[in-house]
Amino acid sequence: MEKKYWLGLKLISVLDSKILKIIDYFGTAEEAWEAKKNDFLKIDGVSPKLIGEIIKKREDIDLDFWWQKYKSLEIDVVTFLDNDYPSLLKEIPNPPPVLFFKGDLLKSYSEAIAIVGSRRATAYGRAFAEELALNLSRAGVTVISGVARGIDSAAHKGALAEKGNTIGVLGCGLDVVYPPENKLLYRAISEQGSLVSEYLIKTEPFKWNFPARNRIISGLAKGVVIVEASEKSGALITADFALEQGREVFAVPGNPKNSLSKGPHKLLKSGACLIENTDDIFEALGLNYTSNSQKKCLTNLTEKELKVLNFISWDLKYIDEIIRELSLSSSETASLLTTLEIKGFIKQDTGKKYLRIS
Amino acid sequence: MLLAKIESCSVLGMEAAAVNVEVDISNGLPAFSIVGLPDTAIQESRERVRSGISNSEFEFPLKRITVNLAPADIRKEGPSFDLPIALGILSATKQLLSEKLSDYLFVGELSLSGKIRPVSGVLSMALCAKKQNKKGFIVPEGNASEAALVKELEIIPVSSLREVIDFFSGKKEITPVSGDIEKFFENNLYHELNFSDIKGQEHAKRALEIAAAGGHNVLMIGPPGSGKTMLAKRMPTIMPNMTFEEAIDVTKIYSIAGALQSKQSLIATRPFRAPHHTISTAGLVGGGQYPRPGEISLSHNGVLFLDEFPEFSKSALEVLRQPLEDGVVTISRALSTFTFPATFMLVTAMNPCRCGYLGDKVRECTCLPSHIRQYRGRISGPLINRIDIQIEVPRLTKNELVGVSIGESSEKIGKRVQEARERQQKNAKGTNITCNAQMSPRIIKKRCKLSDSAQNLLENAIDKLSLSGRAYDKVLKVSKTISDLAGKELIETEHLAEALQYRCLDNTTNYYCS
Repeated sequence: MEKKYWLGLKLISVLDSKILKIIDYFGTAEEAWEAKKNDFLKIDGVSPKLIGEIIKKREDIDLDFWWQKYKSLEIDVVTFLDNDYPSLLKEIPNPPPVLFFKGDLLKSYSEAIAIVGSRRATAYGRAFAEELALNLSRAGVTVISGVARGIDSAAHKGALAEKGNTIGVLGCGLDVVYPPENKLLYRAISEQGSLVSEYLIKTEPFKWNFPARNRIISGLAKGVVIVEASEKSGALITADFALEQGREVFAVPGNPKNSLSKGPHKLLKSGACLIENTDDIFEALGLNYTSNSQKKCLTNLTEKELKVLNFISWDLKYIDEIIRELSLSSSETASLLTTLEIKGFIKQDTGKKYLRIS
Repeated sequence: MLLAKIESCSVLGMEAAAVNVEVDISNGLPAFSIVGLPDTAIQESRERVRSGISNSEFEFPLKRITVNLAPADIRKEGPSFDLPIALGILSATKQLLSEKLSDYLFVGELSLSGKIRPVSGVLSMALCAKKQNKKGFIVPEGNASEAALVKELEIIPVSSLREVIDFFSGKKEITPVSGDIEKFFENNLYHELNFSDIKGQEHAKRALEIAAAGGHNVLMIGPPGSGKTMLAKRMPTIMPNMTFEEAIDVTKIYSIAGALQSKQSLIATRPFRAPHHTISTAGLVGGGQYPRPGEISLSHNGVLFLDEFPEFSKSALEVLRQPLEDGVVTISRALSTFTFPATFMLVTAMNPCRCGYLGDKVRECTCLPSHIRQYRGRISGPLINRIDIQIEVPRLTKNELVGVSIGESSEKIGKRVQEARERQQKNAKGTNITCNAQMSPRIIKKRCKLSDSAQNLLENAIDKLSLSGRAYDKVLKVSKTISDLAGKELIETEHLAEALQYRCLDNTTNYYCS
């Protein structure tokens, strides 16, 4: 029942940053919840005005109702003093006193790497993040990300494709789906991995929530991989947190002309670890895995398919470029591209561009 | 008692109905009234008739004049009754005496000087004259060539009231207008535009060829300056030539809308209409107190091009759904219902996002994902459902444009399209389907037979390319057209694989960057 009172203290919104301090003073959350006005006066840094607000708010909260509500939504609570509070997260400055989560992975994962990046990622970035996540997941490493659009979603999808060990950290309440198109992803992550948030349910995705969420992403992981990020991207905030928390920072290089390469390149210049494949991560962390990433067999392709695949190579190519350069008819090209896509060798990007992915 | 009857007609929707103009002149206070549900233009014709008669050196009677437009229960509009009313007055006052009057149908607007000006809807009126078994049709000179489309009817072009009187009193001979319309039709089958004008864009051109062959509606997505409008404008040049009957239908609509250019007798090439996105619902589908055909009817048998598709008002876009399905549009008014034909091919174009540069190679898109979703969201699902072919038209850079060879000519593409259409019509014998795009789900099941390997590919595609249910039918229809173009009975793997490329909006994963 102790957790219920933690929830109570969390519900007193004005208290937020002082929860740990108050519990430290009272010993348990239950006592803090029941405490009289005078008891609060003895704590450092709690002004009489704040106490007034605490007492008033506390009276308005129907704690049992809320406790039942969280239970019915199947949302678990883990507190800073619990044994199953993620140990890595305990080490960071300003750890969240209470974490709400769905799915059991949070309590049991061991090794974890965060993959973050731009919401407006390129097809290349998304494909790379997905591949990285897939390989990490295969090796039993948990993939942590922020369930946002772009790189985040790609990372989660990659991990879900294999063992499903992935943790999503939200910048809103666990019952709020943001971005809305990620509804299915939400469900998949909470069923196979874990969905985590430090925010109460019904909290909207305010933009100031996200930097705070980023500290949890890096806090839960041993290292953070930045795939694509513009100069002012939130992913760089995550990288800053990672450094502050003593985590490893990895960056994936990109096309120097692309503004989404600015972020990772900036990190590389200041000494981040350059990532070309998953093995680079394992090596840097001293983990003894090798990714046996399976190269797709090229033998079941026809001669023409191979020709198109080799032309596309690892760069984005317009369909018209392919038609022109290979002197194929446009109908033939279209049909070859479809078969290559179905066989999983290439991916389509906006503007009728194609990218080789394996 | 002085009474005269002149026969004329009035356009109601697509057809013209015979109207008798009865003029009665009696003694009493001088007055001039028109009855029989006339609109304002007809009420005003009193002034034009009065001046027209006196300025043609006839006498306007200073008596009580009553004009009745029978039948009295249908609404009549427009200035085309000026001439019959004037003739009725002259006939009733015995200034014009002729037995021949009842052999003819009369229309025409009078100017104050007695000159006769062209009116709209003459083709329908001429058809009405023929139906009434009239010997001839007196038309304003400016409308003569369009009326001449009706055979076995004497078309007498007149330019002034005086000329009409002279004609009937035998003082002047007017040779009826006639011409070899079929020959004119064939001579006018050329287009000024050609597909060979467009460099590159092979993928888009191929998609348009398929669209023309199967009558599929098209959506083009591309940044500004990628050539979407250029491509769309050339669409009519590769569509099969109109038959003479189709051309008559189109001309009729233009005639009613008053959109025929003077001296233009027949619209021989498929119309291409590109209304601006600020168009109102009535402007698009037709409307008004006396309903007029809208843009969708003006593009009957041709192409309706909607550029900046998401910018059209929601209500204007949604009313497109029923005509797209039925090929006609029905406009109801309190007194009557009008049906205009509207069998058109819808070609639409839009930017990939609000700023226009999503996916462009050179310029970067500045839109947020939510903006992109919002922009796309302006086109409703049911409407997208009716667009079989969706393609992306990327912008070519200068360097790319230099090395590109000139493409195929419209004639060459048109020939393939024509063959594919003939194949479809042969297959569809006994049904009212004229092209693949009109197939219903039931017919798709019956007629779109896949080879075994194609079946295999389709199952894979549903899985791997997240092909939605609604995209499924569209892909089948388009692949059927591709196999028709290739001259095959069965849908083979390559046909299906190609068809899968023309469905970019169904493929949501591409767009929402998820």
